[in-house]
Amino acid sequence: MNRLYFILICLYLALSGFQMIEKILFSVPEGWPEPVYNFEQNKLTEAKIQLGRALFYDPILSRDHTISCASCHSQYNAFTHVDHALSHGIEDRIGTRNSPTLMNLAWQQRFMRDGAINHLDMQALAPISDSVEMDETIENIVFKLQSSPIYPSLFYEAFSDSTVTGEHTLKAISQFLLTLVSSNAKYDSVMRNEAIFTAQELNGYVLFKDNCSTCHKEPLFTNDEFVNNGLRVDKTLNDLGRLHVTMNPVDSFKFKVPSLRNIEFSYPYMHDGRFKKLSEVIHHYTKEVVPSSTLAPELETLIQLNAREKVDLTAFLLTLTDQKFLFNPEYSFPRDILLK
Amino acid sequence: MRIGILVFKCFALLAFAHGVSAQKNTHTLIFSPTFESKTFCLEHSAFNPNGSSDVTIEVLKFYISDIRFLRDDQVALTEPSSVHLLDASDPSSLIIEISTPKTLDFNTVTFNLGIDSTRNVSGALGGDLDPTNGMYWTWQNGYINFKLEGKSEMSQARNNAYQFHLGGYQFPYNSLKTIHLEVADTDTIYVDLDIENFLNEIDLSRLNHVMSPGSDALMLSSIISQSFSVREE
Repeated sequence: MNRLYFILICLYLALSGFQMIEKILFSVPEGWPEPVYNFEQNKLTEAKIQLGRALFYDPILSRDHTISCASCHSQYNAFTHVDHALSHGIEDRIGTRNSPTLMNLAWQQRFMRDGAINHLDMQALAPISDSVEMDETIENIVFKLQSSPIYPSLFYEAFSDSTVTGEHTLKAISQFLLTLVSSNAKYDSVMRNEAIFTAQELNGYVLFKDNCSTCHKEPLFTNDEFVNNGLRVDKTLNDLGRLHVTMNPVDSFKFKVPSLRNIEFSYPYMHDGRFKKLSEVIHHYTKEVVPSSTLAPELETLIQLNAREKVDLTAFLLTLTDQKFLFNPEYSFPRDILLK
Repeated sequence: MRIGILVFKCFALLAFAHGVSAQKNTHTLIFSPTFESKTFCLEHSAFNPNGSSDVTIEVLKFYISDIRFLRDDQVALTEPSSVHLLDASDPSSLIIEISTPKTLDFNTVTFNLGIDSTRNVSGALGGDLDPTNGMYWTWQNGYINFKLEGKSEMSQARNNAYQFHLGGYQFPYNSLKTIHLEVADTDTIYVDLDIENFLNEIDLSRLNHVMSPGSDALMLSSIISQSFSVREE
């Protein structure tokens, strides 16, 4: 009998303990560097994340209520725009670049292919104001949110203030974006000693470390810098990349190094989406790199890979697919808020 | 014993608070845009100095930040969280009240025209720094330090418009300017901003709009920073 009481008490304590443990909203995966984002200035809460998630999926952010963030950043493609080389926005207007993936943003210093955006909080302002994306203003968004039947109470729950401001709108969007952490690919399981690579994947990993990992640095698979990777200049776009931001000629044709996580699903590739397949990307680095004064020094000699090595490298790249991330229900369209 | 200490602490705190309030004072900076030595505001309509179409001023907004009071180059007071968006269409925004200690002794006031680089890279900020104030560049982040728009016969642009949005926080185009003004030790300080001087210094037939950081923004920021002066009342 005493034993039964003991078990019951233990069970009660365990259950009440679970209730007391707050849901972990963000954590740094084992072995990863410290995030760049200053969480002290925008402390994560469940209510703020949910508000940000609603804003991310709500076309109210665009002038004519047709385009949401998710229009060009869909979850199943690691939050990029599947199947479009150049992303399209309002009234099917076409932009000049391929939309980037959204993941592990807390570790990124600058945003956009050219790094024009200096802080995650300010990122959303660019597509909001761009005439080919959402063609709206943050002033009018604040007005629309304030007049909406759902948002004043969501802002109240999140910020204890039902008055919508630009600051709170942007901070809430950041909160949702910060939760988009991809760290559960097969690669991660292998690093945590929970799985092992096949011989082919392992050989691909060795080739990757020898040829790609300076720029696509583990564990984020980007060094978050801007480089010219030797793409032939597309004369229809003449995109000078980072030069537009720094106005410094040494930055000509430099673009942000993208993460390779979830690369299997984030096609097409490159800043202008010119390559549809991974094989085309590998072909570029082994055969097509165009020399220029700003070319990344690592690419001055072509990467040497035989046919079998290319297959092995591809096999490794597929271990960066994170199904948990791509299908995480917490990142999906918030039906209960937006379809109320 | 504990309660005794607590009561003592409360009294001490009250006495301290009382002492502080008794020693508090207010200094006021009143900014006035001027043209041909006359002040103007844009509260009801654009400003047309001569009633002619030579030149009009439609928008004038700028940031004043990090206000300091100095005595012989020694900082006597720095206004905490000092950021103010001044808008000529909203006269109340041109008056800045700063609570100061009674003992404040100064002969110089300094402030920045614009927003410093730290605030420029700090993410979403509220109040006067909220990006809904129309003083933030969205396509390439950064605050607009100073905004002046209107029309001039000199301008070759459509509708004779001129538009100057001055900003930029990164080297080599950091356009933030610090303004030093020698002042009398009075409670109210009147600061004039001579827009006529600014427009006269620019060849509007050549340069009628600046909308991004760069060498033009840098040059115009220098001119506008030299257009502040103290008015003796």
